Amino acid sequence: MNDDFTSDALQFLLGEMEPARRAAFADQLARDPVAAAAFKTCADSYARFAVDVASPPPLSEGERRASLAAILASTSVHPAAARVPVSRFPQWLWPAAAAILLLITIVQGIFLSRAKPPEAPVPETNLATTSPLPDAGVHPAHPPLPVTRGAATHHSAAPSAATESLSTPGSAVLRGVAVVDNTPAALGSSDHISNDLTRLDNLRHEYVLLQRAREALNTEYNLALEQLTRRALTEQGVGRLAAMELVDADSYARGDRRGLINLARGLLTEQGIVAVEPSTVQTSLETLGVRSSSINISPGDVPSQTTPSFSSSNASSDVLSSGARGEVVSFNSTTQPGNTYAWSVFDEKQNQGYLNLYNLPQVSAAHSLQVWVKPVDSAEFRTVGEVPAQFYGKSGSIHYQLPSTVATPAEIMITLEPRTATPVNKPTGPVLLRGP
Amino acid sequence: MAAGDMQPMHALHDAFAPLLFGIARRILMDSEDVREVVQDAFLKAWRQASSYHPERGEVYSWMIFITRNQAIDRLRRSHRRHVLFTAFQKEQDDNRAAAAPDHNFDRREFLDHTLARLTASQRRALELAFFTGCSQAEIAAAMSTPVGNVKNHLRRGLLKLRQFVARHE
Repeated sequence: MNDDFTSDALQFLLGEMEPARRAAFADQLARDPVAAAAFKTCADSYARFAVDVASPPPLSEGERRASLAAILASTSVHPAAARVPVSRFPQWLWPAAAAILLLITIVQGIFLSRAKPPEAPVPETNLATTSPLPDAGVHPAHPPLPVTRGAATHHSAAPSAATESLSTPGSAVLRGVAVVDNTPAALGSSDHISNDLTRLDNLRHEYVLLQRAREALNTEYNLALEQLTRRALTEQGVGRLAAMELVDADSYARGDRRGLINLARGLLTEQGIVAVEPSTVQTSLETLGVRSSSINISPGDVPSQTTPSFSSSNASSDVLSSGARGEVVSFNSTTQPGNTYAWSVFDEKQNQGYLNLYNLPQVSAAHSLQVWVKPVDSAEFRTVGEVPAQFYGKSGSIHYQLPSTVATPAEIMITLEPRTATPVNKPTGPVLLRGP
Repeated sequence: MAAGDMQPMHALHDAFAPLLFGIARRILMDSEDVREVVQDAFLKAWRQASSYHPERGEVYSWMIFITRNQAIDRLRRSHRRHVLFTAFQKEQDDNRAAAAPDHNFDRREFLDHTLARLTASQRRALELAFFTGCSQAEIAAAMSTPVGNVKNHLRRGLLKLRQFVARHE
């Protein structure tokens, strides 16, 4: 057996052979027992090698049972337990699908009853009948596609669309469904129902694919963010920056984030892009300086939601190098109700933070927006200060300085608090923004 | 099984499920993907049992390549191949002492006598080809060697594996 045969066998096994060559190779194996025997040693030895490399651990009894049950359910001719479903799939879809099918059946029944002459007798056998789906449990929801990568050999499992012909998750559920309907249209509409079921199955399949695509994007996002941060830290020497984004309470609870990547790209890899208008610097502010009445809203571009831009001809060369204690920087923005959002960067070296706020809501005079941070070494939020009233209904940015004894914030929160004679020392009102 | 009898499925599953889960886990990171791929592999074997040719391979190798190709197919669709590839390159070989699965060949003997004879390049090329679905050109790039060398590594490596199997059958 020559080297070419070995190479061909390898390509055949790995599904990398073009269809024409694959067919020819399969034909050779069928005609030549010596070639088939040589191929057998290739397949068996490579499979053993793969098993050794993979070092499969033993399956737990629970895993084994679950796997077998799912397979048997998918291959059973009787309505059986569903195949192990994808846990991320919403539970409400099947009731919704059943409701849609019922509605379709009713509409069709009405339509057909109007189309038929009133004197037409209704076959008695059509009443109160249980009508199973055609070929229930015998065929998969998707008809098998033809194998496109060559002859039907036992190793024709090439990576291709052919594998899509296998049943999709949950198809066993569809096979086992029986529809009870008293309308005369029920039997006549079985094709429609079957089509609807197929469409639902396809939708479910696409949903699963979308979920996985989302996971893949999240993975890439995390990798990119990590690379950017590392690059900023090592190549540009910007020091240790802790960045986080703040979202509304519902999004925070769901884990939804708008994506810090564009912000990080702009902030961490390019110095000096953050506008610091000298005229806006307030040096006499208290810890935060956010109560100042002399804050200027300087004209500038409206930052987008995902890629905020800052415009200033007097931009600082380094956002955090100004060292301005309690300075307040702001810029104009068009308020977009419902899009309240913020992101923050904290310089651990200077113990100084930069908080960028977008589309803050209007707040009544009896209330204020309070900023809180929870240091990494603390379980409690501590007050940082109040968001300037000038920012209400707008967007703005603030610098804040924490005492040197306070650790880096692990969390930041902005809450709506009532204005009282004594300042609140812990968050009590509804959360407007929280992160990371 | 080719006649639709379900009893062989039980036996097939008992014998090969650990192997196939191991293969799929090596290729895919998502446990849900792994489970679905193994299920699909068994279903495919059940539906295409009549296409199995004993003269071209043992049942376990047939099942393993079905699983491998299903997993690679899914991997390509999910665009996570490069992530796996990166992880694969960094992976340490310190978890090889897992308990032996239930399969019908002496893996310890295979490990001792055959894998030791593979050169590092041969083994790496065979691993990349099987577990990542990389083309020979991609393997060449990963190993920083010409494509011709990769072809040679694959060919020679497989020949060594074959020689061991042929001697023990």
